Amino acid sequence: MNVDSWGLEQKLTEPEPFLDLFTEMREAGMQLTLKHYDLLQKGLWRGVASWQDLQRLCAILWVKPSDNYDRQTFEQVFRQYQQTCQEIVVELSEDQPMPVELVPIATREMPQVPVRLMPERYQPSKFLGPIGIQTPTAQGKLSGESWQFTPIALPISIAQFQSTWRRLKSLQPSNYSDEIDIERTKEAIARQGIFADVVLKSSGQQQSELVIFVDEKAGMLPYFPALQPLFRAITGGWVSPARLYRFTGYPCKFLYSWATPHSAIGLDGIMARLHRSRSIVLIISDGGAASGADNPDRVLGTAKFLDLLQSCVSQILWINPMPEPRWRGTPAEEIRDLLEGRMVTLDALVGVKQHQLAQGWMSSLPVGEE
Amino acid sequence: MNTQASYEYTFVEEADYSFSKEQRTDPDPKNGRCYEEYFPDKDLVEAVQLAIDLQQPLLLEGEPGCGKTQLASAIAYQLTQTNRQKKTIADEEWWPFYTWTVKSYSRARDGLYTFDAIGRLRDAQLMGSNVGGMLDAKTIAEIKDPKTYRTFGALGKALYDKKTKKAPEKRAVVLIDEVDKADSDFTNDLLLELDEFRFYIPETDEPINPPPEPPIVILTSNREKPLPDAFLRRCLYFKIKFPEHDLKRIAQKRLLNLVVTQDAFIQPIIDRFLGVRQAMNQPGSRAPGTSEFLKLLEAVDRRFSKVKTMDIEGLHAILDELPSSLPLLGTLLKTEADQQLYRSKVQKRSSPEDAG
Repeated sequence: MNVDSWGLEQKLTEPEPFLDLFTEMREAGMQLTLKHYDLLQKGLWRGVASWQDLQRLCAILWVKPSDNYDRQTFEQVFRQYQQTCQEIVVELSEDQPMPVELVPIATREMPQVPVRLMPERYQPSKFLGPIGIQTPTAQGKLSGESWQFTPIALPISIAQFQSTWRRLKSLQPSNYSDEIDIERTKEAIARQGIFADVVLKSSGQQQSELVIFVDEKAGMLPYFPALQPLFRAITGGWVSPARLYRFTGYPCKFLYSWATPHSAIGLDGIMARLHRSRSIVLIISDGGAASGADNPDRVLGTAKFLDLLQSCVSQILWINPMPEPRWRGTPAEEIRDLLEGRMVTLDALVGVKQHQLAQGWMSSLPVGEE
Repeated sequence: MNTQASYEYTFVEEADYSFSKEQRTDPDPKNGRCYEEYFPDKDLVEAVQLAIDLQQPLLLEGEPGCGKTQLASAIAYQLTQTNRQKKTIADEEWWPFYTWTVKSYSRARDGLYTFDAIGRLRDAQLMGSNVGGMLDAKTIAEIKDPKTYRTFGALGKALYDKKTKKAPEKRAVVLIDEVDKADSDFTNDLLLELDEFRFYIPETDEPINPPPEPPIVILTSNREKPLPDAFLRRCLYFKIKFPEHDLKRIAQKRLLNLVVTQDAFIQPIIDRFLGVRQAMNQPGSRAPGTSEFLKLLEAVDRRFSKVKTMDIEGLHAILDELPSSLPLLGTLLKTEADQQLYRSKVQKRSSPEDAG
């Protein structure tokens, strides 16, 4: 038997070949659908002669540039699957000498990288936060319904964030109410067959962009698991156009790229790309409330930044995950005053009633208040 | 003539890639296209053939200059050659190949069709004031027909043949280049078209139905922006690796006539090029790709052909000028910052103080 195809031929003769591989991929976090399995079956008609061929075929069909179709996860699951299949074949054919190249002990002894799990796939009871903030999971009864509270149980999901963003950007005023809408005018001409009148752009025609600045200071770290869906909504292309930047404490001369945290980007360059009527900025920071100490430098630096920002963007929202009573006597309180109330807590989000959540959590925020 | 076209993309180096540039150029001035020669690795051949067989769009990623865009024309070129040999197309015929280069302002509809509403308005008013009967009956009929004013885009042409007024017989190759340049609505708006290969034109009330066999769609992305999962789910995906160990073969095939691609001269240029790539391998810099390598070869060859004795010393002398010679370095590094960085790295390496 060919070493490269050891264990493969048995699998190929099964009525649903590699269905178990497909299932294992899904369990490991690959969001494959039945269509992906169907494609594999069609791909197998072309023939696979070795495990390497099968891996290449599956990779072309199933791996994509997304966390949900991650190459690393794929390769690890595939490797484990191949080993298992080969071990079963060895057990079944003990009388046959096992090829030396396939002894899998060395591979098994190598440290295995655990399969990456996405935040929503964690079970709440299994979730482990950083040791410093780990607390027993709060459980109890509220209005006759059992509930749990963990950081990732906060009322933010990618779908909610996406739908809310669509609503938010559709509310964006145009400022150019007398501008001709060429596309709609052309459509009217096409429809009527004659040029009767121009169609003006109504408010809400401008495309908004979301820019998020995330504070990475130590006090913010416990909240990062809760914010993962939001970050993934941006990095995964669910909300677009949108950009994410990091800062520590308060934004100074440089911010840092989300994808490459070590590469600094000048604040001037970022400001130059913002648009007075289209950019909506979301700042996620405790504003110094976590440390509890007064910090005049932080207030001054933040004030300068907000002053600069306000002239470049349409709206600013500040989400402070610390409870509001903890803001008192800290820079957060002064920053809230600077923002004239446009700083809200995550507690406020938790308190939003279910029917309001169904309409989008952000719509309950004081967005348009000027 | 046998009408059953062949869709095999089995790269056969000697048989299929021995044509001159003139032979690879589409004579139709409207197309004005030179079909590229391409040297894919085994995995890429497999990915292309899978995309053809499974009738799925193929999304290509890879560093700039690695040949993502050229692949589509290479597929069209090979299908042309194969089907000419098999007599499934005429000798002078070229395989249908349509390109759609996406811009930041592109809309999904642009690749399907555009409707010249302004032209229709102008003609309608002209027809209304048809003084002295300037317009004949045929022209008036054309003006009255809204279909006169719709023009098909790249994907639209691959799904509808204007001449026969039905789906094309051959599976055209469609390149949707730099799909990540537009915003996410662009890819979301293309889901139906890429999934079912059909669309509807409201201006003319025309449904364009899916052809019996869909076109071969190649998409490229530089990953400037992440693409939505719903879009990715509908594509096969392949990341083209930089062909570090194939540079000699690619150079000798693509630039056969150059002196510097001969065995005696090519290796020092490859070594120098890989040195530049290594130096630029850091965040914020852009390492040169295959296309830059080929341009460097042409630039070096131009200089080399002017030296008195074309020997290896002469070649090394030219390559030693690389950091200081803007025309040479400019073929590889496109920004002032990258050029400065490379010069400083070369200087550090050659400076004994720094080296110590």
